[in-house]
Amino acid sequence: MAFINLKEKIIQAKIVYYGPGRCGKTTNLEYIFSQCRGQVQSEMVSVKTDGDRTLFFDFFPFDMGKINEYDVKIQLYTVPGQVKYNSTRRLVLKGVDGLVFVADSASDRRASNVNSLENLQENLALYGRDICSIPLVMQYNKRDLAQQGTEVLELETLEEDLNRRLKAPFFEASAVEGLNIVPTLKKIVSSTMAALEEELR
Amino acid sequence: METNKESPFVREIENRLNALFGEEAGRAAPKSAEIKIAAGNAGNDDAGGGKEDRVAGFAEKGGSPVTETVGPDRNADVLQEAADERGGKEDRFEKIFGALTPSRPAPVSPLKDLKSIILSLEWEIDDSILSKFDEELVRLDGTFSNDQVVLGFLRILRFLGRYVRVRGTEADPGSVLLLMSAYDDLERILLSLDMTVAERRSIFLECIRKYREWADGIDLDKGGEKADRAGAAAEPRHDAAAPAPASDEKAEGAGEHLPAADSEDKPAAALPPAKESAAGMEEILAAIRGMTPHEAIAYAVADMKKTLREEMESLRGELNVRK
Amino acid sequence: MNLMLGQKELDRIHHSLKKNLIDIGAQSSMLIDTAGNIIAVVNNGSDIRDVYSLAALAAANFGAMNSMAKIVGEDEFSLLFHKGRTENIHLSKVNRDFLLINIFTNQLSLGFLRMKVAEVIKDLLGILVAKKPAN
Repeated sequence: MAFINLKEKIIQAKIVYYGPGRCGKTTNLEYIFSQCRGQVQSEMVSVKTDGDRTLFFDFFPFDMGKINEYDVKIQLYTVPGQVKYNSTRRLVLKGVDGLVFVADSASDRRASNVNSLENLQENLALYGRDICSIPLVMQYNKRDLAQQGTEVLELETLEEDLNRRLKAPFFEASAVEGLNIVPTLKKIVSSTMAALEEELR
Repeated sequence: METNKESPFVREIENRLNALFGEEAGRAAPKSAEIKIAAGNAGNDDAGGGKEDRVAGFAEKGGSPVTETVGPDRNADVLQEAADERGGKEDRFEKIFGALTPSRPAPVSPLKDLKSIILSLEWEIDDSILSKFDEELVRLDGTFSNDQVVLGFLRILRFLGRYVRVRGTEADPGSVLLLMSAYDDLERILLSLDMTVAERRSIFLECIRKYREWADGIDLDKGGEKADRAGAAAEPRHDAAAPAPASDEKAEGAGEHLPAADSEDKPAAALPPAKESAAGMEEILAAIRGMTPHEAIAYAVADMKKTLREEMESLRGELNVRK
Repeated sequence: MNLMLGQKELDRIHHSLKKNLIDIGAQSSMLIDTAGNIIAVVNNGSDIRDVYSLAALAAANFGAMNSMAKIVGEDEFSLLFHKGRTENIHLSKVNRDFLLINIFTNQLSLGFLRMKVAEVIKDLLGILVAKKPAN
């Protein structure tokens, strides 16, 4: 849950990038980090295996500076996507304020996307939370695969599979090329802040 | 989730994000683009409304704060109280406690150093800590030379410490638990102000009982695999000073039990024996000079066993005297 | 890194864990890799736990701890210990790729366990290093 210190005027929110293994969550964060390095003091922390698979999380805190007298700090996390790390994923989800679900557009990953979304909802339910009540943005990543000759899922298919009920804002993206990574971030940050503000009214 | 009407705060968030990343609608902005970061409150150029409107969503007047903060008034009271104390308003203390004697030092537990070593042993068991343990127990022997119960506890602790030191990884795990338990009992009787003699004795006898139960369950002289590897060639004892194997040494009454030591030809794990004193050490060194390593180990272990046996005999004697 | 362990090596690992750790009072002893995969697990027959989650979390825990180490200027921390009311967990590094996890109650002294763990690690290194990684 968001940390708000009214005395010190600090707002801190947690945004988690979720999705199946190797869908591009870490690449999202790495791209964001590369884009604002030099302007933001903090470093990105990655707890990963020797094989570069996320083991615990990737973490990038970025300080947006003072906004309306409040220091706004956003904490971006990714979860490990592999099935065996479910307990660890659950830990990272604790206290989440905003979610980005990163789906893999490759057609052979269709089932993984659906399973991962179900897994997200199950893990949220363990904390007594409903995905419908948390700011959510869908990112359909790896759209660039089509140009490389790999079969990708149609946007309609992805929407039907993942977003039919949730009706969350979505972006077609390519994390390796930097396509729509920042707009995804902007959307989730503003949605999260808006939700926070609404909750405090 | 959708935001129907963005508040000024959210608009400001978006402006800041645009400032950080550029106003990207699709592709990323080129890395070489100049991006200015608004510092402090720059950019908060809301035309309408006062500050209250801008912070409406996060004002203390609205909603429930997520975190508690200490109010300024309570802080001031605490500070004032601290200042008052420093300002010399100490006569309240004197009224309650009487005149202070600043020169009197705070009482120090006689077990302070032993406790520190015990805490180290809880975390890590190695030769240097066990050596310090032994030295401290010897020192406390001198301090409590007139207190038979305390001496009894110290003897048990020394025995267990030496057992663990000799056996090393082959030691029975219960020995360490027993050692901790014996220390806890010792601490209890020493630091308790109003314990009767009978209570002290009762605690001590309970400790003896636990020791006996433990010793009954293990073979103190049993050599482990390490011992076999270390001293397989040293079967016959070369220690002229070691006593003949003891027969049944079951304690009488409420005394301790020292299991039979009839297999002294099996050397223990290759840890150096505890040193009683400088003179004793010289004797040992003189004796083992010229021996093969296996023989030296066997000699040292036998010497330690002899010392342990003598200590237990002495302890048993004291117990019989006290009965 | 790929490592092939045959039945003989696994038996030796099992034997070392059982003899040195379970037989002295540990409840459970696990050899895992730093990615959270279980190489060997031995327990004393008490409650069956979700060892797979435990292994994944332990590896993540260790990974997070080493990230912390780098922040404070250390290369790594080699030991992690969690004390519970009745049960405790001791994690130690075997080598770059493997971790040893022990679950034990207060009936076993931590100091004694650490003494035995040092011995077990020597055994394990002898087994693990002897096997050349397969390409």
